Amino acid sequence: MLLEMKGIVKRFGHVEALRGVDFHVEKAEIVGLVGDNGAGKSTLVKIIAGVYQPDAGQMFFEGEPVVFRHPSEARARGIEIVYQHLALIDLLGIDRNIFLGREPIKKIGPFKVLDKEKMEKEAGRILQEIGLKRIRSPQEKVAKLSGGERQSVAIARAMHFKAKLLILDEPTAALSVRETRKVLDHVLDVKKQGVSVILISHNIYHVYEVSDRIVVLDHGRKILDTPKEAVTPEEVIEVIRTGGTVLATQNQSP
Amino acid sequence: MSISKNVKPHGFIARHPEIGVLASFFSIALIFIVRVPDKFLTVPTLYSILTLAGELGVASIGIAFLMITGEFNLSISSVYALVPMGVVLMVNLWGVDMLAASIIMLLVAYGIGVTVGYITIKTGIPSFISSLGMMMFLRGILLAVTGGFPVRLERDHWLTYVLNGPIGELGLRTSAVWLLVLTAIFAFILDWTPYGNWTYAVGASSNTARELGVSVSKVKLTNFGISSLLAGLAGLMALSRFRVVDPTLGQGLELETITSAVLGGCLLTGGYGSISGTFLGAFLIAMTRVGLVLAQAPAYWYSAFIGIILIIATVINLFIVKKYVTSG
Amino acid sequence: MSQQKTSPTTKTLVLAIIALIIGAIIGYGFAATTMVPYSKYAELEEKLEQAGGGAPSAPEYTFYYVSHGGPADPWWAPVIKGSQDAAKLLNVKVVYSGPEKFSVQALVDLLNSAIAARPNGIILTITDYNALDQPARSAISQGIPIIAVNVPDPRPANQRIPYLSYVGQNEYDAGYYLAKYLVDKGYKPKRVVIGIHEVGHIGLETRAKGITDAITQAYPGTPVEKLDITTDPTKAAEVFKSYLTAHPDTDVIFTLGPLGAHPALQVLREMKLTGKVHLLTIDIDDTILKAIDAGELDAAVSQQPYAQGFLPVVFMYLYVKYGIIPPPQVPTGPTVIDKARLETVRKQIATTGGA
Repeated sequence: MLLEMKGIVKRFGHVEALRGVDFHVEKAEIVGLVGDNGAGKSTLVKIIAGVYQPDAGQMFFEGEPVVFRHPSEARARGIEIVYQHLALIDLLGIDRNIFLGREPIKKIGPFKVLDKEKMEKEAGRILQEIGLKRIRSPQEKVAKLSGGERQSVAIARAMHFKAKLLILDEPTAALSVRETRKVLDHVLDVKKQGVSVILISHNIYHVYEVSDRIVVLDHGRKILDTPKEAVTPEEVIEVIRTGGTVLATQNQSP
Repeated sequence: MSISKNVKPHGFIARHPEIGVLASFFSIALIFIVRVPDKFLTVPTLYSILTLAGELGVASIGIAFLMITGEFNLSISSVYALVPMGVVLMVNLWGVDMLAASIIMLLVAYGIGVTVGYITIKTGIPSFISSLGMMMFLRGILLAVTGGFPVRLERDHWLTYVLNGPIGELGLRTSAVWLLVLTAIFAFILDWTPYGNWTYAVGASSNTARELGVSVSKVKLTNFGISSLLAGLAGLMALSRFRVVDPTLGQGLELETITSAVLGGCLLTGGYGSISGTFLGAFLIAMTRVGLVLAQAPAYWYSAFIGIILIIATVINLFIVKKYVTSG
Repeated sequence: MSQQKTSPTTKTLVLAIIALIIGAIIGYGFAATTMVPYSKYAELEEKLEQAGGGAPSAPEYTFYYVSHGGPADPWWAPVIKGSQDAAKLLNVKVVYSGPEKFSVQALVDLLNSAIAARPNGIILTITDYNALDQPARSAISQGIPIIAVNVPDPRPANQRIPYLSYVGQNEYDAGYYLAKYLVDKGYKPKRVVIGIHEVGHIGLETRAKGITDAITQAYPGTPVEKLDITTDPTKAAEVFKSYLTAHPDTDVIFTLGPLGAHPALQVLREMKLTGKVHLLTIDIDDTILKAIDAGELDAAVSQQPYAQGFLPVVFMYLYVKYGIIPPPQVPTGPTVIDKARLETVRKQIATTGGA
């Protein structure tokens, strides 16, 4: 198991966002994390990514118990989260965006200087890998990219820095059909390279397409954790809509 | 490198915010060259412009660097007077060596900048307001301490020659050297170091930068400090030439430095700009003033002229940003 | 990669340093307002205290001195001092109020505040007679006498504000007599430039007009130009330089205050034109006096500001206590100071802090 979380509790004031959630992700597995608004999906992944710390419960990564006090700690272990809106900075070039906070350095005497050749070369390679052919130079501003292209670059950035677990928060929310297709393909690619993905989305069909396993949260509790093959997207939607009662009745019927 | 060979001029323009000010610069220079060719295109005139741009330029570099970080510091106009004032009082009253006094006051200037930044970050008040408050506070202290009298530097010191001494007979001063060197240094830091990348990022989108592990507070506080430090240095340069500090010294500098930065391509909203462009902006302002006098324009035209230049130059710069930087 | 969190100790340290700096600045400012810089007045203060003698009783009267000269303008410091010294001697309370930055509106507001305080008398600069007309007349009709100082109401006697007296020198005369000094010495200038450091400032513009009139009356053909030099010394210096380059026949420079005189002196030194270009200025300070002594500056005009602070208080006291009507005008200058008069002026400065 790559990631294991047991009995995670998180409170904000008197609101209990998570009430004892068990959650796990295997290696090279794509988990779709779904649920209605306020279910706790964002909170859960933010704990994984180091933005929050749990009030109770335990977290294990690659077998070791961990507590991440800051996103950079999670990032150092190979956990990367890509938010819908905060992925990239418009006014900066693509290469500067990719390497922001992790700039490659070469030394000129006592001075630490940007290794611009390395940045350009690697950023260029990334652009080619994700098939972004229309962008001529990796120094072009991110503003020139479409929404889907930005998501792809953000994902590729995470991959470049050897992410082991990639968390995508609503990656397809504002995208066109074509761009959604590209991003989902990219996610499948990522899995082929041995990286695990947690995918949060309101679009059950998108999630269903790429996930291996689907987890449903409702009001801070996990109410469904099933391999994809065991359910249909409509059933999942029904579970979310009824808050799990449909499952309860299912379990009761003979 | 095979990729960059195909870079369109598009990308080149996007990456060089100083294109706009270069265009403005050459247009204005052309006007003066045509009006007074014999007096304008001379070495003494160039030196005069450089000298006039000296203190303004040094202070503008700090402001531009901070603006790219997404913040303002209006208190620099008071720091511009406070630092030399403090040095003069220390030298005159307590016999402190001018170099030691200067270092102390420059550290105080840095501290004041950090304080403004700290107040801004902690309270969430826009830096325009918090620095405005500090500007008035410091100016009030200056007036109280001096009773409104100018203070004179009573002793001679080699530092004044280093900061703003004459070079040769044609009007060149070391302030121009300081300006050019500091421009080079900060342009380098901005474009060639990781810290420069963080500065751009914090100004363009501090949330994203924070997400990626950049210490937004540290970058902002440091750059606030730098803006104040450079303004203090500029004030010392003014002191070095005239040996007198009037308590009204520096009034208006807060807007002039922003003008230079904006002329040079810096966006008021941050995240984009150029240090070399700012230098050209200051140079352009100085050139306009000198040129108008040489061209024997009516005495009171200067403000109107600079106002028009600023508006036109900003329109050009914004046009460039819209067309080449932010469009898809 | 940068560190994310500064440790608590670093944060506290930074805060402590910042607090120390602020505290030091406040402390120094506070201490300095209660002390006078340069102990310029220390001697004088002591003498006055000794002369004062017995325990001070409550002030007999309260006067308000409302002027357009605020704390930023060093010229007014001796005025303030003069008014306070007179107050101490006569056992009256003089409240000085002036705006920090020149503003007619602020002056009107201050006047209204003064009237509301119902003092026994108001001493007022008639900086803008239109704006001040109504509140001033209102004060007088309420029984608060007014003595005008520094700037008079120029209208004829039956139209102007009915103040008791005008004490001071007007700006026009200051400029006029300064330029006249040069003319009277028999010098015919080829070209005159007036460096004005705050364009649109009514006082400075009036001085400039006085200078211009004096020159053009004597030599109608001589060009006299105004030059915007700004209050910044670097700008002023380079603007002067550019002007002298554009007009190499310039042989006389007038400046309207120390803010213009200092850079002008510097420029003449740098361009090695001292002695070849005549420099004259209005208002004096140490640097200017030294320059007169050294022959770098021809002459300066002084309005004897201390007198403009001291005398109106005395006249108001005499009027309020004894009903003595002051003379309609009491000039306090202008005195043209050249090398010959340096000694006397130095005494005035030493004793009053200005001249």
